[in-house]
Formats: sequence, structure tokens, C-alpha cells
Amino acid sequence: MCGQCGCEPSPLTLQVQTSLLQSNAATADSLRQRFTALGLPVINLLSSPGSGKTALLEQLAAQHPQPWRLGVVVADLATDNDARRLQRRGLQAVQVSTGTLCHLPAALLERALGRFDLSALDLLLIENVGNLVCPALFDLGESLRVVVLAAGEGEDKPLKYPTAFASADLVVINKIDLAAALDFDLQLTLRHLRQVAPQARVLLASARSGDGIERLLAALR
Amino acid sequence: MHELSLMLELRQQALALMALHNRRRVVAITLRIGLGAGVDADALALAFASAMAGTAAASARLTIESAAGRDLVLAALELG
Repeated sequence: MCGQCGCEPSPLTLQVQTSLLQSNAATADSLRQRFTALGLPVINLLSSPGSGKTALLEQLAAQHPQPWRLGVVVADLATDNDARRLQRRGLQAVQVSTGTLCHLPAALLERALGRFDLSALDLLLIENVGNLVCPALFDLGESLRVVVLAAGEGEDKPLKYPTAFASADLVVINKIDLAAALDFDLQLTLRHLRQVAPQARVLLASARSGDGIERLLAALR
Repeated sequence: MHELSLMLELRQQALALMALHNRRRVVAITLRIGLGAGVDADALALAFASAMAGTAAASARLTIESAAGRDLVLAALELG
């Protein structure tokens, strides 16, 4: 526009090349710096709904070495049921309601952390919204990303949700005590995991019996 | 819908660049979306319309270029 006659300016084309996850990444980076400065391990726990994330956390609460102080941030679309479950087990748990958001963005985590004294924690666990699609894209500044897959969910789940599994540092196969009853083919599942997530360590666990929880604690800390 | 979150971020970036360059509207937006990015192009186009409604980018033309890998990138912007 020339500023006089109201004519349209010639179009301006910009080569931008910025990430659409830019502002989340910036918040996640600043969180990561805070966690690193405190020497605090932070675990981002991902899975589909019903694979037993909260039950695993209850077992971690029961079996962790007593001097450890664990904090948990639980994200759900609605209700504070999970936080109340974990508080009953003596964990410091804060619920974040994401409303219509299908994942926990770094900015909401940052706000929830205002309710903790992070310097008084030895381990911070984040139970993400039960969803294997969206949370995979949103870095939270965590030091370890754990994806939980339960026996009976389908051996090809890693192939169906490759983004989530490819971003995992550790995969926990939960409900392993039910494998036989559910005709769950562990070897096939492991083969699929190696295909899409060759970088991930794999642990077998049962949140019901408590098997494998000690190994999981060792891997988290 | 993480597609909507991504489009809200796009709106913020596009409108900020428009203001920075003293322009009045966003004419076209080109995104580069990786096939492994975990994002659905149709869902993205739907979310684009609702995210941009009522803004200076409401009538912007959206082009989605697909690429290998996990890119989620605002590649280019045409401003009017």
C-alpha cells in the first residue's frame, strides 16, 4: 500500500521454516534446565487409556526406597480421580485437567509445578493423558520417556502408534501376569517393538502382582 | 485434537510475522508435514479453518507439502 490511494501492496513472500512446536519446545527447554540444575529425574509416562499407568504408580509408591520423595503430576481431560488414588498411597500428587486438550503441553506442566517444592523431590513422575497419539509430540523437558503397553492391547500396537514408541526411552509391558490368559504373544510384540523402537529398553511388569517394579524403579532413578 | 493446538501456534506465528512486516492479511500459508510426524493432513486442514476464523488469516490459502521424517514446519508465508 502506498499510503495515499489505498491500493493493495504487492504480495510479500517469506521463507519462514519455523517449527509448529516452537513455543512448546521453548517452555520444555526451560523446564529441562530447571530439572537438570536440581538434579531431578523427570519421567513422562505415556500410554493408551486403561493400560495401567496409575496402577504402576501405586506400585512405585508402595515399593520405592523409603527415603525417596516422589512427586506426581497427573493429567486427565476431566476428574481428579487419579490424583486422589495416588494421594491415598502417600504420594504428593497434583491433578491437571486438560479440558478438551488431548495431551499435556509444557506450559500446563509448568503451571502445575508451582504447586510443588521441586528441590524437596527425588523423582518427578508425569502421568500424561491416556492417549498414544498426541502426547508423543509434546516435549515436557523430561529426562526419560516411558511408554506403557499392556498385555492384551494387541501385539501390533507399536506398529499402529510408531510416533509414540519411536520416542520412548523405555517401554514397560504391563499386566504380564495376564499374558497366558489373554493369549498375548510377547515375542511378536517384542519383534514389533524392535522394528519401530530399536532404541528403547523393554521391561516386563505387573502392577497387580508387583513383579518387575523393582527393576522399573532402578531404571527410573 | 493436537492438530488444533498446532494450528493455534501457526496462527500466532503467522499473525506476528504479518504485524512485524506491516501487512494487513495473510494470503497463503505453506506447511511442511512429515509422514512420521503423527499428524493427519485432513484433520489439520479442518483445524486450520477454525483456528484462523475471524482473523486476518481467515481467507488464507493452505498448502500442505508432505515430507519424509517428522517435520512440523511453517515453511512459507505470503502476506498481502
